[in-house]
Amino acid sequence: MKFSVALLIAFLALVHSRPAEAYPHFIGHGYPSCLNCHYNPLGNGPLTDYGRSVGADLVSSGMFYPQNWSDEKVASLSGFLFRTPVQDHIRTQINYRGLYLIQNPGTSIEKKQWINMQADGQLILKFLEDDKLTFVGDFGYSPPEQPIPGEDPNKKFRSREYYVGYRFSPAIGVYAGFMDKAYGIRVAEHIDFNRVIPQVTQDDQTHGVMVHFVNEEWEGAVQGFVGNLQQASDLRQKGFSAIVERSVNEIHRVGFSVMKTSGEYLSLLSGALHGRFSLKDGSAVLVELGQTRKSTQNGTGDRNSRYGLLQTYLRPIRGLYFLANIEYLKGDVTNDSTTIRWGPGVQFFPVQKLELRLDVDDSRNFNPNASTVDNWMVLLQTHVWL
Amino acid sequence: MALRTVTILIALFVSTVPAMAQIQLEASSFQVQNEIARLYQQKKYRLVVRKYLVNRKAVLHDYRTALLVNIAYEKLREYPEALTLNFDYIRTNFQTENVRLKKEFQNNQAPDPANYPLQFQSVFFRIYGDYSQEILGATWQGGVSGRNLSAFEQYKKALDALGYQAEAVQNIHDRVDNHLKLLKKKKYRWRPRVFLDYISWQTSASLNGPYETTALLATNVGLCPGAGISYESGFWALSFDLSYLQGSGGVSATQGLVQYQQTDVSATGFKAALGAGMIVSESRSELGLRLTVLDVSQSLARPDSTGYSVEQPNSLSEVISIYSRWTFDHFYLQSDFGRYFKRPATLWSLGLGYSFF
Repeated sequence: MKFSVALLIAFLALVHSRPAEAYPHFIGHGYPSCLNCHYNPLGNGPLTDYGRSVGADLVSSGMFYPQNWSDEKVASLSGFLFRTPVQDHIRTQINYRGLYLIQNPGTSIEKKQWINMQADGQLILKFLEDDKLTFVGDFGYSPPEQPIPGEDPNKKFRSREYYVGYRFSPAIGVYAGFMDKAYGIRVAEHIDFNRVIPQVTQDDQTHGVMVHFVNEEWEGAVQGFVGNLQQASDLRQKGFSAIVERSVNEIHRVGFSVMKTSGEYLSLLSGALHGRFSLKDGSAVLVELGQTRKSTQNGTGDRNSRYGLLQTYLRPIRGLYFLANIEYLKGDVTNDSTTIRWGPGVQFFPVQKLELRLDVDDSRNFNPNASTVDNWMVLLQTHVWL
Repeated sequence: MALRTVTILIALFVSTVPAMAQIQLEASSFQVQNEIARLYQQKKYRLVVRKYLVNRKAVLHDYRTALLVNIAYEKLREYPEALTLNFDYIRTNFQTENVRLKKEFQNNQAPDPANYPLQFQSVFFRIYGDYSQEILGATWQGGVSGRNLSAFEQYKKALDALGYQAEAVQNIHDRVDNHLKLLKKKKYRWRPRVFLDYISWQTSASLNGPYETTALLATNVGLCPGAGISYESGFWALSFDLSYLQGSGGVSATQGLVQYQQTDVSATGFKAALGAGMIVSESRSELGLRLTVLDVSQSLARPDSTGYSVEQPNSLSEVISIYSRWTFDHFYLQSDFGRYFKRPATLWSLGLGYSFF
């Protein structure tokens, strides 16, 4: 009977879930490695108990809590549904992320829409000393932004990750299953050029095996993958990726990543240099410069694309981050046309388990043969995790 | 005989005077101590210290009463007086221990806490606390007395050596340390800078034809070397930047059968910006608002077709922007994202700078 109830709870949790995003700018809080707070050592996906408590007291504003609540008290409410876990082996999480998008506001082509980006749940099973063995999975309402080739376009409920991980030691772990590719800085903005061009967005997970290593100086991962097995075999992108980072002055990280994927119709070869720099007190600068060579079967879409990202987070007070998201794209390096997307934004964590965000994106095209008006987007985002 | 008896009686009387005086003093001290305790309970701290000032001896001989007076002084925020009381108390009751402790420190000997009564250590702790309050009361860096700071550190050293209330001693020290850092941050200073920005801005014009007018938008990019100065504390910054602007851009439009296109049109000018910002991190990163005035000249060529002309507005324009500056020691990166007044165009820049102080 107890087993059946546990199975039912696990199933319900699984049916209602989806991962929290990764925030690589938390290097500004002294967390250079994602492994501190996430089960996935490269970030994204569910938070560990420690990650939840960091989210509750370090990241979230304390202004709405009673004056006599200590950080310890706040952190004690960081568990699933504000409760302290009573056992060590099962963890659940529920996520909702919604977006109000206004394109070209104030113009004749203004368009407004509300997008439910995700409403899903996660289940984590963990065993052995120091949680060496973990099973992580999610399922729920996660409509892809663009139809995924080979998948039913009406499919709204899906899983974005499920994998098993085993850490032989704190330094080395192996992860196998359906995961994000180990490449570049995993920023939360999945429309950024550094995620779109090398195809590592929120819908580009792959089945594969990843080896992750970390010590005081170095961190990295090597991943071999066979593509998304839910897609038809001719559409699957097989290949490998690797990412390496080194600590600089203990608080910064610099690194590089490479990735090669190939399928019947398309091959991609990507490489990027990146840096994550702590400005201390929660503020940070993220930089990535990369290039992707795209080769198509018939040669019509062949191109070399170059992209860049400069993202800064400044934290004037606890819970509040002002950001500048500056992106560069040369869609074809042989072409003179360049796009720069520039966006200030505000990210606010008023209380634990709640993130509010406002971004403004101004995309400007530089083309010697044409002068075009900028494209504008205003994005208002709500993220709740329980 | 009678004389002898009288002499004995006088002698007996005289011999009892000191004892009687002592009894009287003790009775009086007891009264003072009770009175101080009563006033303290009634939170009449001013009366407590007045009572002390006229009955110092009675207070200084009783640890509990001296403690109450000390707290009364602290409640009244009269820390120098509290310190004087504590020093008097030490002199009155623990002169030997005090001298011995000083000698041990002078000779670099570790004091044995067992040789020092707890009351002595407790008064040292109160002195340490009063010094900390003196320092915490300073509202600017120059307001911290070097003598107080030095004494505060000396007492910390003594209490550490005696092992008295280690955690509380450290907490007080941390508070003072943070306060001193805060005062340092509050200090305003001038900070001159030089920088080089990569900038993109837009200028408006209109293509006037015989029948209609078409809006033109020139998108430019260029470089902007400049210098600036900030007046800033650890919390706020006011800044003024002046830079030379050199760039180019293109414009294109179609009106009827006329295609108007200009590429790589040179633009030069000046940019002046007044900013107010908030310092948001220990590394002095900054976030703020800026009002920029641009004076840029860019001459668009007259269209070839007869009856067509290009009209360009005043070269002077104003922009309100959000700026941020990310500091790495003397070097910094800065970004600016702004919108023009009165027209739908934007300016943004990204640059590298060097700060001299």
